[in-house]
Amino acid sequence: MSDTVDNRKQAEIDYPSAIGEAGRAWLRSKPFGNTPRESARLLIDFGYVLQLLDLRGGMSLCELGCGPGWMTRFAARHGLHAEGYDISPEMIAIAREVAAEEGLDVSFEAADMEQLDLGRRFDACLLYDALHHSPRADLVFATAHRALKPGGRLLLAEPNWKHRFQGRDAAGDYGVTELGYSPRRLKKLLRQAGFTEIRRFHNTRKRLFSNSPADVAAHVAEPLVYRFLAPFWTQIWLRARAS
Amino acid sequence: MPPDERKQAEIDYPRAIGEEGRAWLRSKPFRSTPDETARLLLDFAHVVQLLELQPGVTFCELGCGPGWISRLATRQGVQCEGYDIAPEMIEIAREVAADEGLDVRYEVGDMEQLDLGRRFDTCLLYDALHHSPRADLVLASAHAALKPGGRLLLAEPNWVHRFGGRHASGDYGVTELGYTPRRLKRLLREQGFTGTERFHPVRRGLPGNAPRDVAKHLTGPFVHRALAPVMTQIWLRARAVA
Repeated sequence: MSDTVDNRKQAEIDYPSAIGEAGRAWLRSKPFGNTPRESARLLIDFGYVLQLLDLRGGMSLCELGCGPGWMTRFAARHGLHAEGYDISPEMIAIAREVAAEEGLDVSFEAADMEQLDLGRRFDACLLYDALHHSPRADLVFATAHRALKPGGRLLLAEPNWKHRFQGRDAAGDYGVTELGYSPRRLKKLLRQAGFTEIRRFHNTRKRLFSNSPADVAAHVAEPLVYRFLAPFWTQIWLRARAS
Repeated sequence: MPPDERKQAEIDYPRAIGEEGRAWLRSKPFRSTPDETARLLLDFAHVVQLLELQPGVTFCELGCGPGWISRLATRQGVQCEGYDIAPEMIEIAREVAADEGLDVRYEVGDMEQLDLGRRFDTCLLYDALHHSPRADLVLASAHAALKPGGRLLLAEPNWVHRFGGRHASGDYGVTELGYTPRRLKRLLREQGFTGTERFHPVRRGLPGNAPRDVAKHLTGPFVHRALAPVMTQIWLRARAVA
């Protein structure tokens, strides 16, 4: 069992070395330098992170499973005290390098989000595209709860359960864990970990619609389509408050 | 107001707004309220999508102010130039770009008279046009900047800004107008642009599952489209004719 756990975690640790030079270049430039659609999607997501966690200068934020730490760096730019944690030392090395180049005061540390104890000192905690790398969401939520001050807020943005199948490429190539949780399961786990006021948000609003007939139809239908197809189509965004 | 006086007010603006105002110019789009910073970042993301900004594309911004959009576009891998009439704005833009180690060219230039020699793939006028009563001259500059087939994107407040902007006009003497989409489309045609498309900005927070949120989400598209002339920004994209 512990062998399996070690293997699983080792794959996450090795991921940045496994993806090659082009992959690492993307980790560095993230969210920029990709296709207009992908770069825009990430920037828009960060905008919603700001709004949903109500992030303002002077607040503290920790990001668990921060990868190369671009959201943590954006939060620091926004005037927050920001800390990013990732299990992969190589990810943390990239995050620190880029932060230094940009002259930002951010702290990045290598740590396992299933075990970390940050001592209930943050106003906000972010899990963005991170949870599905662990089969132990319960442990990750416990870590988030331990990181937050009483009343602090957690936001998590995750792929839907279709990712179990879509993520198989990465899982096959690099041995990393790629799961997909259902909103119902996540809500249950959040409650069990001591979170309240759990709210789900629908992450639509990815592009602007024009006045062409097809765009008008897409615009009007979008809320219905997204709400009905959410389980397979959209990311799951959940916000909760630590008791 | 005579052109000289009108333009002088724009030139003096960064000095007139005080230390706090200038700090905001430097930190833009960050360090404002969550809603405001999110709005600006979302707007930038829509600029990226609508002008298809990706590495290798050339981009110029007219009336760039402190140049935050050009800096983010540079990070996106785009080759950027920003122009503004206020030397002090350009100074701020250059300083911040240098601090961030970014290679952006900023120059002082009057967007009513600029001739950039038809060398850009894309041109942006973001919240800039309403500082000039001569939209025709500004759009001529945009056309003169773009390669044949290049794309212009403009994002402007709606005509309510004629009234909403009185504050800044009164305090600093700057020009704050509001154009209607119809007028802008006509001016674009007259200046040699075709294929003008209008886009509807929907940039509010994400809707939740509370009954009120569901109702707002479902009615949003209708409300925004119906009230666009007074409620939302005007986003127009057009192509420069050969």
